[in-house]
Amino acid sequence: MKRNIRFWTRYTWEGMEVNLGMTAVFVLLTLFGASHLQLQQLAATAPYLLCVAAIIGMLMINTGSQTLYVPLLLSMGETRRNVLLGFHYYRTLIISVTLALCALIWLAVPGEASAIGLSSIPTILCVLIIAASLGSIIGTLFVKWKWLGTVVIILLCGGFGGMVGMTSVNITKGMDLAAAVELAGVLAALPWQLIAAAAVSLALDVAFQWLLLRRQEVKL
Amino acid sequence: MNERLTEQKSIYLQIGEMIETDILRGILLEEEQVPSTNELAKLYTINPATAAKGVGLLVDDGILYKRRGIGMFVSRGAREKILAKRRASFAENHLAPLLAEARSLGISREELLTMIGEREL
Amino acid sequence: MSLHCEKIVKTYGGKDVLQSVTLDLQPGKIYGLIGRNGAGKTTLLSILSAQNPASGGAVTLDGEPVWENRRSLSRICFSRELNANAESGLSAMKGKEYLRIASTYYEGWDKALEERLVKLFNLNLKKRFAKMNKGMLSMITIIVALCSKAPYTFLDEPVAGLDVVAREQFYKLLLEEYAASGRTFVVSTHIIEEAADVLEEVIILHEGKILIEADTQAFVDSARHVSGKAEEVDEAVRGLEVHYPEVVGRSKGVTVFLKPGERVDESRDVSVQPVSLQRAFVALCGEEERHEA
Repeated sequence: MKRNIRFWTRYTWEGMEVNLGMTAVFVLLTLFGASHLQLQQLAATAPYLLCVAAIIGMLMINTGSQTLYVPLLLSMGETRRNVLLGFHYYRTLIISVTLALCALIWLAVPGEASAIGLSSIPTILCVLIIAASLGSIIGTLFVKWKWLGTVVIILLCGGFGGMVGMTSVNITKGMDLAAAVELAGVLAALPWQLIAAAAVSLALDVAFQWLLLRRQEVKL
Repeated sequence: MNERLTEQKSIYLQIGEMIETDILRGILLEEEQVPSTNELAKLYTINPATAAKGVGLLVDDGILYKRRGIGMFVSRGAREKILAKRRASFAENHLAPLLAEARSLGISREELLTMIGEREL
Repeated sequence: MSLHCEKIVKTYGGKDVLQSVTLDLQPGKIYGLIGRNGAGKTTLLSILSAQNPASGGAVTLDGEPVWENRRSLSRICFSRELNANAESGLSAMKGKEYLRIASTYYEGWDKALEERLVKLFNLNLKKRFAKMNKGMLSMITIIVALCSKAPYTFLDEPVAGLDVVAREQFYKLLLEEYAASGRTFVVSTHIIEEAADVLEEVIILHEGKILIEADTQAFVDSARHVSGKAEEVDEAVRGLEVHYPEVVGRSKGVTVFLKPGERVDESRDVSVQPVSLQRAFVALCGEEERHEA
């Protein structure tokens, strides 16, 4: 496991360079005394951007790891069990580093946005886990049954497209601020459904990965 | 030691013969160390076990001997032994094929002897 | 004390790629795994190193199973033949990164040897695999195998992309490492001629089955090419294991494999010649092809 941790830590470090860079920019801005208002705006957006970056990063690595890193590590004499553990260690690392960066920014800039952000960290954690697990399941499907993976990706893209469309319609109508605040409130209260969804998606993901890994053949 | 290997004979036999030839030619002297199995293996790009087998033949014949922990050395009197051995096998190795070829060409015994008589040794 | 596989079967889509392969790899030997393309060499090595699951049978190292066993796996290195075609996930990988991952995962990695070999091969590690030629990819395979220091090391077609000079260089490096460490090597190859003298043991895999597993020199010494007038040849080899007959007019040539105590009847008017490993291999594994023709 030691070499697994070494490999994935290094891998995470390289994958997180963008995120760390963003944080560095933020820190520089703080140091060189940007106005309070600008900082507030940054605190309200930058952490969420970090989260989006983490999700995209994890989605990218999912297919990449299934087609490249899993067979590569197996070919270097790692056990299937450790490959799975290493992969989840890597994901945990990304999620915790992202959350830590977010928390850092919010703590550095006290204000209303930061308070909301800090209180919604558990919610964000659940969302990140769900996103990562779903992405990983898609990756697994994609590797094992290309057509099924493609169908799921198309459906998801359709879903996202619809949501984006709805939102833009809402924005043009004039954002329903009250509804948004309400939604944020519900999410921040962390209903059990969210926790359950995170747990289920994670379990599904691990089960799927194990099914695939158990009999996987190394092809490079 | 720098002859090339051929396919006509087992490699370990060739290794043994090459060392013998080097002793006859004075390239390797008596009581001198011969290259190690691994050195021979690398020189000829052959498996060390094969080289060891060739060297082993010479040890069996008393041409080389082993000094524990140091390596293989040429025995005293090795040259004489090799000469005796090669003389003993001269008829079998060189005369037999000559006679077989003469027979298939229809060269008579007398003709052959005359031919040999005309040559200088 | 050995890497042992017992009755390994591997089936892909109803086709038996390996049919009940039993093999015992002893420590401290160089084995050659030779066979035609598609004979199942890579599949066998993949199963021996637990990179692919077998459809049946078991692989053990010193009595312990190899599958999902860290202790056994850490003593085995299967340095795969690298492909850089578009489907390969590896095509975008840089040589440097690949070696770094290998050095992380092989516990006994010899960094000094790695540097020496990279310099010797004059490799540009900043290149991606897609931009490397076959020779460079072979060199990477060789570096991983030698530097891993694993007691059981398999090389899959390490010389396929190398020119004659580099092949000779590789075999000398292999012998050097072997002499220094006494590790067990299994080299799979279909380029047999230069390999023949390096391999202590030869394993001939043909259509998923092991045809021969023997001391290379003993195997080569047991083979003879007998040629002459057809009737004379037939008489000279009567009762022997005869392969690959070739007939031109009245003349005939055959390859025979002698069991201990057997010999060709040389009182007949025939030529009896030694055979190289490559010719012996062709005589054993090339027969069906000629019947087709």
